[in-house]
Amino acid sequence: MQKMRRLILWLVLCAWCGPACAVSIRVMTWNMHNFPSGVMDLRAPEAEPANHATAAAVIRRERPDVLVMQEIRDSAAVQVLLDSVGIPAYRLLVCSRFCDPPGIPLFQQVAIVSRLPLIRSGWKKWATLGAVDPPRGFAYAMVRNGGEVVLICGVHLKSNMVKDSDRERAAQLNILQRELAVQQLVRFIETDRALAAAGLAAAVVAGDFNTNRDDPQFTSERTLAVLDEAGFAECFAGLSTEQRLTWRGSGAFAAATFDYVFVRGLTYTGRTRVVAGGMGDHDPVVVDVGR
Amino acid sequence: MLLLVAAPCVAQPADSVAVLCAEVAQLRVEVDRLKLEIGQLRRLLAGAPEAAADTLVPVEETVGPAQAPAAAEKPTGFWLSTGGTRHNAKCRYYRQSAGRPCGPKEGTACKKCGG
Repeated sequence: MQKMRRLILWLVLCAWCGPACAVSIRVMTWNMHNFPSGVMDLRAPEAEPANHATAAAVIRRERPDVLVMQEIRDSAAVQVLLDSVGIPAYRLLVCSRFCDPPGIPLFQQVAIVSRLPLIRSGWKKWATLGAVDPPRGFAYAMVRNGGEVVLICGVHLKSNMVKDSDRERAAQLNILQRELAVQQLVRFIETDRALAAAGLAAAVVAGDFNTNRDDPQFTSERTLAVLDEAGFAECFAGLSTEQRLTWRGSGAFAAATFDYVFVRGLTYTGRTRVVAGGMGDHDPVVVDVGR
Repeated sequence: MLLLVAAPCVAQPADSVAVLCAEVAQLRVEVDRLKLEIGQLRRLLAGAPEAAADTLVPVEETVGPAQAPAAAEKPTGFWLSTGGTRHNAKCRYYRQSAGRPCGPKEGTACKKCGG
């Protein structure tokens, strides 16, 4: 009888508190480096099973509620990955289908996987402004967390690759592309009618931003500042440079922080971790967020 | 006598700190101004106008990507685009543009996949 009373009390408490209480969620973002082949613009059937197994082991170990992935070939590659993970609750909520100018799909898409219930998802290409034409775009998914609606956005902003003979001009154009992209994302979050109609309570922006606050070449860049000014909190606040190296470096380029999670309407409930990915050139970032 | 000598020594660090703090504050203002100027120069460099509100709305992708034309021919594992470039089945461009299945020696090999 006593047990029954406790159970009823617990159920009543849950029913009363449930809609108002957002459950803590774990978000992981990972640039998976031309997944699953590991080679730009190419399939590599011989290497792909190993990369699927490596990624699946990381996901099983970290158990994120939301996984934001970049440099994914297509939705089929994500489905194979989810089969390898073997956790039935995971669903592919969205995988972009960004194309190059001739209209051929890129092998570097953005995807969002989650075990939270989906309300709506989609993806958008960045708009061009003058000579500033940011590549790709962003993927988003509105999910239900407890009684709250949370927006998840995945981005992969312009790299620092410079092919132009005028290297300085090309580097500045790269910065402009990132800045323009993030301005568009903030405008989308703040003005999209469907988001407002759904009663959006919180937003998470995660992905590969290809910039940081450490390197002098980005001193005047406003990409991250745009999110700061829009009320988003960065996941790495207070951590030393060594604790937040997400890109392992290459040749003359030192390891750097390029991957982030930003949240608005939520707070970080634990320390942000950069965990071993075991493949590619980026390591995943894992954060726990809640009220 | 000792006091007279020591007094400036004690006062000097406090003065220096105040001076340095003022200099730091001034430098911060100048850095912020320079960042702003660099941002403006960057936009000029790209010929990018100040963004109007409506141009900042990202584009919803409503048009589907280019579909490979339904080739009646049997796949050979190679695709010859109308531009004459040959792609193999591992390539991002394989069967993604107008063209036809081809043999392993036809056309010019794609630089990415090796044809």
